[in-house]
Amino acid sequence: MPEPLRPDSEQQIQSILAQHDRVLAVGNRTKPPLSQCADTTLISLGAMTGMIQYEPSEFTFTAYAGTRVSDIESELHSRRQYLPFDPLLLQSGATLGGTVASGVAGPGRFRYGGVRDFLLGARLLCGDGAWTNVGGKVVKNAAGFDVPKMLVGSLGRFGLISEMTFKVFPRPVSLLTLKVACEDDRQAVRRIANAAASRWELDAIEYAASSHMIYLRLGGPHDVNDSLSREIESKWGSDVSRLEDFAAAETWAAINELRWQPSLGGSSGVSPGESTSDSANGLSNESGSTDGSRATVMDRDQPAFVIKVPTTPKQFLSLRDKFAEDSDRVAMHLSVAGATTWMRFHGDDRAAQVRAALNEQHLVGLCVQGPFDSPWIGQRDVTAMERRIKDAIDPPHKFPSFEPVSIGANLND
Amino acid sequence: MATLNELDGLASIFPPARFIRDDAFRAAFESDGLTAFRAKPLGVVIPETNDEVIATVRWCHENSVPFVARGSGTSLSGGSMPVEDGIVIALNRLNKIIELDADERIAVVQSGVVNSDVSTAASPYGLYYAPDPSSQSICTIGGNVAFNSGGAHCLKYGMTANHVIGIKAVMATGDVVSMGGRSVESVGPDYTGIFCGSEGLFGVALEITLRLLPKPEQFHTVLVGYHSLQAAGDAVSAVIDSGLLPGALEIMDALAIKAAEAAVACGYPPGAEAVLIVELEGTQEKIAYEKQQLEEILAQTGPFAQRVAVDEADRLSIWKGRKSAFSAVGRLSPDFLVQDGVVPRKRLGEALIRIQQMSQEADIPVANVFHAGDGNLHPLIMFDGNVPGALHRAEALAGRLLRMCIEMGGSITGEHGVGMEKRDFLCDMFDEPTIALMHRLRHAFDPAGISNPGKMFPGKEAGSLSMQGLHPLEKAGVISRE
Repeated sequence: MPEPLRPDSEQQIQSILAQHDRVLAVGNRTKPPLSQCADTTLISLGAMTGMIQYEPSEFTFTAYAGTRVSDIESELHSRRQYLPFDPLLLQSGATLGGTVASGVAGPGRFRYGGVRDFLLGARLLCGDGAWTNVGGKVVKNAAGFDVPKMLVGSLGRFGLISEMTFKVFPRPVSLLTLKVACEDDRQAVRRIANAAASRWELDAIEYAASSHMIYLRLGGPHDVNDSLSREIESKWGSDVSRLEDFAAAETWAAINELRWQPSLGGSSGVSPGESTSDSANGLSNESGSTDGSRATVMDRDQPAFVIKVPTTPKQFLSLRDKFAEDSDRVAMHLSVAGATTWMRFHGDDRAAQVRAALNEQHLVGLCVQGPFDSPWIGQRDVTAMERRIKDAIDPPHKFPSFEPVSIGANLND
Repeated sequence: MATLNELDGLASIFPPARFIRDDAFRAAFESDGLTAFRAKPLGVVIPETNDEVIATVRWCHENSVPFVARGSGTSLSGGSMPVEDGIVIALNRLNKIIELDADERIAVVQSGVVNSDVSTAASPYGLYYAPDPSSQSICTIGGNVAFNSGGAHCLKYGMTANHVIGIKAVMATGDVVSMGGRSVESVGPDYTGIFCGSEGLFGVALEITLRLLPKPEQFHTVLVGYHSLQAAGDAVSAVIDSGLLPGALEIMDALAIKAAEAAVACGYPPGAEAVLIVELEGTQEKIAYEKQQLEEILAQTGPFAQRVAVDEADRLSIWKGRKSAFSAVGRLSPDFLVQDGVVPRKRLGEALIRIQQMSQEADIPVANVFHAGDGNLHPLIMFDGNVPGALHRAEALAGRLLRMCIEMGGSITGEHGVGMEKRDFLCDMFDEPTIALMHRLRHAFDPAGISNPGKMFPGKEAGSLSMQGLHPLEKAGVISRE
């Protein structure tokens, strides 16, 4: 695949749009399946990066879409602020634009909302070559259609975003992580429901299915976290244990980097909260994991697929039941207190099985990593409404379609 | 334009008692919370099932008859004002909470469900629905969705759109679509998000899936009196800069305080040029920690009076003055216009000074009540509608205020929506390509332009302008303009 073009001005972007039949903006391609489009000229926004305006007192910033989220986080951190939804793949180089286009969020999504809830405005190039300014730059705005929300998850199919404005929040002064050992998935789901509706105001509730371990994160003053964690410990007794700061940081980083299950054949996997620290970076856990999952030699030879599936806890349980006999090879991680099931598996055959399982439950997954030829797996129909909206934003269809397009082996056949 | 007789086709959908062409009954629907505009619809239908709503919209689509879906009619921007050659679809009887799943923390409701009924139903499970527009005891979720309603707690919790995770709707074309679902996360473009705040221009929401939150365990509400508005504004900055994230940060100026005292005897500090209400919420442990922090911050902002709510009754009494402020202004002036602009928080002080200057130049009194935490101003422009030209002058002042908000980088509306009231200002806020994009989007959902026409975009369908004073519900204290 040819290298993406790298414009350094809006004029150059417009010019590229005019000169090519079909274009798609890409960031650092940390989620490769989302930019798999045939006959499409890729536009990297890597030459247009950085913070444009940051107003800590306003709880807002505006930055170029090509900016790495890690750079943004560093700047926000210096002012004791953050993006509460835990942007994913931050260490891997995810950009703001890719975060919006994919719409994926991490554990922090639970407390205050996801990408959709923090994106306030965007500068959007439509297919007709016109730059538009959708949404606003203040934290509260009800004027006009909320186009920015619709850009979240749109995979760049509506247009190209060059700048975006986000809302931010004050960063909790300290964090405390607990892990809660569960007997099985059903007990875990019950406990997750209890925790989510509790008075504790948890920041995050995650569940590593392979090890039957819930991870809870409290954010706030140290003494407050300490007091609440004692209550949690008293509720679930010896099943609960605290993570030391270092292990906790690694746990959340592993989840945010989608390394919640050992990277088969790789060298950077970690089982949340159980990292071995004898490697150079403290994350390596090549021998497998303590969460019980194992990879076959055959699996190791095949690339890993990672998908995000919006679920209810019940749907998660159904998926787990479906792959009960194969749980070592179809690993699952339940995120955002049950709202997202992440799945990791290997090989085209297993991908086909997962697709069938999703279809059966009328679910759809976002293909985040792996050799997919489509951004979606499972049951997603392009509706007439979606086609009309696409026509409205991108009349000449300069950006890729939402329709499945076959590139090589097609899992959606 | 349709005629009364041409509505006969609707008789096949509704029994006579729920398809109303009676002149007097139709008059009850001719206005909403923005009483400056009135238009009498050709007819009113009162569906009791989703199928009846769908059949009505399809009939309107086939017969090119415009329609306006309406809940309780509390829109302050004229968003639910009828169209003279169209019908009103009154959704109040679609008021079932279809499902409340405490484990999933969601409620699926029909669009005519009253906002506060959701929290009432969720309360036994320790849950609540966060968006709290001040008319929440009467406004409906469908209306909240249409106008992306806000409330006093938007700074921390966001607006309606942040709590709506799925919508089943009938589009203006008659197509029934489902957006989002039961998970707070989704895959693909967030169509639920754009439907919220579309002001009824896309179609009619039938069923809405709401996210519920655990009820805060404790509140800590503080009322602070200042000798100047500037000092109150500075206090807001001090609180924000401290890293605290209060649930609410509200300011009222002297005129608004005077009105509230006259109306509800709220007991605010006498002689205050401004009062600030700060409300923290959370676990008792967190409140115990943060209230000390807040106390130290406020002590450095030069307050001359301070009152901490000692119990829930005391808390509600503090809020009573704030919540009643708008209708209370009716005691000081026979008529008033309320604006809803937003400015960057750091420019609040500057905005208030300019409002004062403009008020003096126009010789029109303006009271100020605002959601200071998110820069959402609510200037109340007072006038006497019986004085020739007074309304026009008040509107001219309102226009200057809105343009000031745009110039400062803010918005013409924070939570009331554009509706009928501010549609002439939409093009001041957005450039031509952006307006063109919005028109194309409207057309994608509603190619015939029959769903709530005349709202949001400048156009020709405006009703005749006539000043009618406060809304009857407002006079009765049932609703208020927040």
